[in-house]
Order: sequence, then structure tokens, then C-alpha cells
Amino acid sequence: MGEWGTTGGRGGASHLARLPAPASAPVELVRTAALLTGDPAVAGRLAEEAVVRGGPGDPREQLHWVVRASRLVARRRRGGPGQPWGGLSLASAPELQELAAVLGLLPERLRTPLVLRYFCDLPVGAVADALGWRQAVVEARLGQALARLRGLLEL
Amino acid sequence: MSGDELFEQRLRRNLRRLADELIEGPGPEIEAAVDRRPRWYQLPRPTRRGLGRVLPGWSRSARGLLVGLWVACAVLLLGGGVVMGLALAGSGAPYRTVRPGPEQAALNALPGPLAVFRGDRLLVLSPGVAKPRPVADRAPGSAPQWSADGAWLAFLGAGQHLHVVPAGGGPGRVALPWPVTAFTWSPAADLVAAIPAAGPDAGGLVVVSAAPGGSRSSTPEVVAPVASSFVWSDDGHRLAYSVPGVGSAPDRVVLADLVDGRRTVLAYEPPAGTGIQLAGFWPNGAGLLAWLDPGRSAAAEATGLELVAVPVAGGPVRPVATTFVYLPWLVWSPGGGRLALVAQHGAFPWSGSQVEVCRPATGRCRALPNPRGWVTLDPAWSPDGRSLVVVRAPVLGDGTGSGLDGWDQERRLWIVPASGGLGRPVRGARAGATAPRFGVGGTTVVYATPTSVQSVPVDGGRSTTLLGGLQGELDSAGPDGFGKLPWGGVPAWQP
Repeated sequence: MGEWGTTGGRGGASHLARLPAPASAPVELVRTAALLTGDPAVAGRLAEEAVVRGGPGDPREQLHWVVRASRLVARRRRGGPGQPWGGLSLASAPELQELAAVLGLLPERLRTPLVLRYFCDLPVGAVADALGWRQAVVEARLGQALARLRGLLEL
Repeated sequence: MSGDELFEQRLRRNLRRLADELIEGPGPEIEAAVDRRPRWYQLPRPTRRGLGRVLPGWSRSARGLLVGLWVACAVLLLGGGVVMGLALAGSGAPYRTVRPGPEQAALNALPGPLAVFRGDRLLVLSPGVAKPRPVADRAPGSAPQWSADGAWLAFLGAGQHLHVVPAGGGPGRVALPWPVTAFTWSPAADLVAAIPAAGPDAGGLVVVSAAPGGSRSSTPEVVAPVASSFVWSDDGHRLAYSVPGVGSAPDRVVLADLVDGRRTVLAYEPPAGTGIQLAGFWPNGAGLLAWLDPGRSAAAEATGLELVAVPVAGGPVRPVATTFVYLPWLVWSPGGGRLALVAQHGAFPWSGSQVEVCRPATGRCRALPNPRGWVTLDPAWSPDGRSLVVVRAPVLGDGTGSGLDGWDQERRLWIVPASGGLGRPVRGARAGATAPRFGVGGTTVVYATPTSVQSVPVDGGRSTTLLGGLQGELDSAGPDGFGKLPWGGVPAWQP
């Protein structure tokens, strides 16, 4: 999702609002929601709804809507019978299967900023804006998420 | 570029690949999810509401009359249903909702059929079926193994001869009428590779068909005249086997391609006098796991050997851990990237066993800590690869094995996170557990005790006996050959 923002840097809170609407926004939204929820089927529906509720021409609001809804879905599923990230039929390389498993191990408060920062390529300021957190909180949680990922993935 | 930057770069790339896989990989489910059919909130709002939308030509009073008739009918039907339901419940009639009891639910959650010897009967217990069925004539046997497709079972019968029987029942046959030191089914066909200890092919590696006939010969096909260990590749196309070195020469590893008949000697050469026991291919086929036996010492083997990862195409050979020569204690994760093993930090399983999660390709391992005074054995992965079910038992103080009989009964099930941590005991599981395995969906654990096969919910609860009457006992089937590990009655699961 590099076209949505610049890699690195610490943009301001209105960073997303200045970006042009990407042509493939719904698909990117589905991908983002899939990484946030661990459930491709739910992700598709969330992205569809985001287009309707966030506004067809407003990628920032669409993304914010997806983030809010995905967090809600992830929190509701925690500990429940429909565990996200469970039973994904990934036919891919082992490292992707492990990444999926490890993402599932991260708590939602660490997974969400990680996905926004390293998949959506949002600057820290834009991540803070999307989540309604202070930048320092985002930075701290990104640090925790990276440390846990490194620990889990690199043994 | 620093290590952090490299990691972040790789993370970005893999997140994108993962997202692509999530969206495009599974196919139908995401296709259904991203279809562009309008949802209810996208449909144009009808101009008329209620019945007026459905019956646009009816007057308001006519619609009211119709609604009244509907309500009256519904009340009558509902009342009749309640009366009938009460009558049936009172009469004890068979029209009741049948919910599966705990035993049936546990049977339904079996991860697959299992085969086990109970006395001199080879029994198969299938998911959802309460009663085990015998699949072979009454005769003592041991070490049952399933063929890859679940159609056949092989086991060692009288005299350690190799027997093959159809898992669905029917007459079996003696596939190798000589004592056999090792045998394994092909992962892709109904072929068994074995090393006979006697007969015309003694000490060699042979392949025998489960169902000879047609173009398949009933006589074993010799793959190698001399072999000390062997493993199948996951696709069933290759057999790797170790050839004992002569004198002080080390053992060598040969790859036999069963499709084109080629033999390739692996470039890896261990130090002089070193024996090689092959443990398996990596799941991606790019390498082999092998135990190194300096001096080919049985005593050394009995106390654990160094397990190494050997890339098939060449490259550095990496030590992984010191373990017993015992294949059930090497378990690949569902994704195939990690290997759970029981590392040995002493000569005995009751004094220094610890589960580690390793990446053989890099040789890096993470030890899952033991609670103080306990050892950990028998790892098995959860279906999602996040946790392991293990068996923990108290350390036997002096390491000599005194009190070993009672030690068997101290073995407890635990669930431990693969990422580290002590984990938690499985509440309600019986003592004396061994060979645990997660059930379907990862909500139950199926395990054996010396006398039964049990199932217990992962989160704790009542343990259900799926199969009783086993006669497990200490025997010499353990990894060290000294009878340190129970027992003869460990069940075999269909792959």
C-alpha cells in the first residue's frame, strides 16, 4: 500500500486526507482488513461496508472505518469460538504461514499499529490519527510489536 | 543496512505477500467475500412500507383484515405445537433431540483413525465410531504403522516379521518373512521400505508392495545392498539411506531416486569413524536431519546423539540439538518451518529432557523452560502451530532410575505456548499420559495411558476413555533401548 503514504517519516494527523484516492482502494482495504482480523471473509465484508459508510471517495475515512471495525471484530473474537487466524488455508511458503501464526499471537493493540505502519506504510502520525492514540503510544507499541515478532520469527 | 532495517524490510515484503495470499490464495471464500453484489444498505429504499410494498393494489382495511387472519393462524399453530410437544415429552416418545454425550463428542473429535494392539488383537478406532474393530487375526504384534492413504497397516508380528493388513479388514500377508529392524511406509504410495535383519537381503534396504499383483512383484525390490538407516522424502520419490563406512571411514548418505533410478552420494562427510542415523527430510525436501554417532557407539546412542541439519544441495551442516534417537520426539510444525524436539541435557529422559523449538535450516533453537524439578517429553503441535501439548514428569533425583515404575504414573499433560513460557497443566487429564495429540479443531487432546486411550478438553474437564483394556508396560521400545520409556501399547495415528 505504498501508494497511500510515504514510507517512513512522521507525517501529521491529516496525512491521509491529502492523499489521492487509489484506484484499487477496496482491494487494499480488503487486504488491510484481512491482516487486521485474520479472516478473509470478514475482511471482504468490512471493506465493502467501509466504502458505503466511510464515503466512496474518501480513502482516509474508509481506512479509519475498517480499522475501527476490525479492532471491534478482533476484540469480540478474542477467546471466543471463532478465533481469527485459526484454520487459514494458506498454501504458501512456510515463512508466510509462520507470519500468519505469529500475527495471530500478537494482541490486537500491537497488531493493528504494526499492520498500519508496515503494511499500509502509514507514517507514525497517521497511525496515531487512525487509532486515536498519541504518537508516543504508537511508537512504544510498534517497538513492542517488532520485538515480539523478532522473538517469535527469528527464535 | 542495519539488522533492524533489514527485518522491517522483510516484514513489509512478507506482510504484502501474506495479504495477497489471504485475499487471492484461498479462492472461493474471498471471491464470495469481495463480490460486488449490493448489500441491504446499498439497495434503493422502497417508496411504500410494510404490506403496502408487497400488496400495492390492496386497500388499508383489506390489508388489516389479512394481517388479522395471519395472526390467528399463527396462534393456533403455535398452541398446537406446544400441546403436541408436551404430550410427546410426557410419553417418552422417541421424538427427542439427541445431543451427543461426552464420549460421542470425544470420538467425533478424534484427529483420525488410530491403531493399537490390545493384547494380541490389532484394533482400529475410527472417529465417531464407539466400538473399535479388529483388523487382523489374533496374534501378538507391535509397532503398527498406517500407510499414507490409510488403507493399510503394517506391523511387526511373531519373530519381528513384517505383516501388512488392509485397514478395512480382510486377509493380510507376511510382507517380509524375516526379522525387520526398521520399516516405514512411503508418504505417497502403498509401499513399505524396510531393513531386514536376516534372509537374502539382510542388512540391505528393500521396498515391498502392500498389494502385489499385476506389474507389482511380491518379492522385495532391493534399493541398497547395505544400509543402516533410511528416510522417505515427503513426495515419496526419493529414499535417503546411510551406508556404514568401512573401518575408520565415516558413514555416507545416498539419495536414491525411485522414479529414474539414480543414486547420488551426498557431499557431506562427517569426521572419521562417525556413524549416521537419518531422522528425516526437511518438509521442503531441501535438507536432511541426521544423528551423528562418533565411534558408532551403542552406549553413546543410548544417552543421546547430536542432531544435525544437512542441506541436500550442499552448504553448512548445522548442529541442532542433542536428542535421543527417537523419531516421535522430532515433530514438525503444521507450516513445516519449525521443529519441536526433546533436547537431552543428561543421559536419561527423567533427568534432563526439555522441549525446544528449532529452525533446522539455521540451527537456532528456543528452549521452552521446564518448571523447576520437572522434565518435558512427547511434544505435539496444535493445528494452528501456536502451542504444543507436552508430557511433563518430575525429575527422578539421582538419575539412576530408581523409582522408575512410579515415575510412569507421574506423567502429566501440559499445554505450552510455542513462543515460550511455562504453560499450564491440562486439568482433568489422567496421570500416566503419553503420546498426546490434538483433536480436530484443537479443542481436545487425545492421549494414551498404560491401559487406555483418553480424550480431554484442552481447557480442562473430564477425561473420557475412548479405548480401555490396554496392557502397556515398560519395554525396550524406548529411545535409549534401556526400557526407560513406556510402553508397548502406544497407538499409531493415521498420517
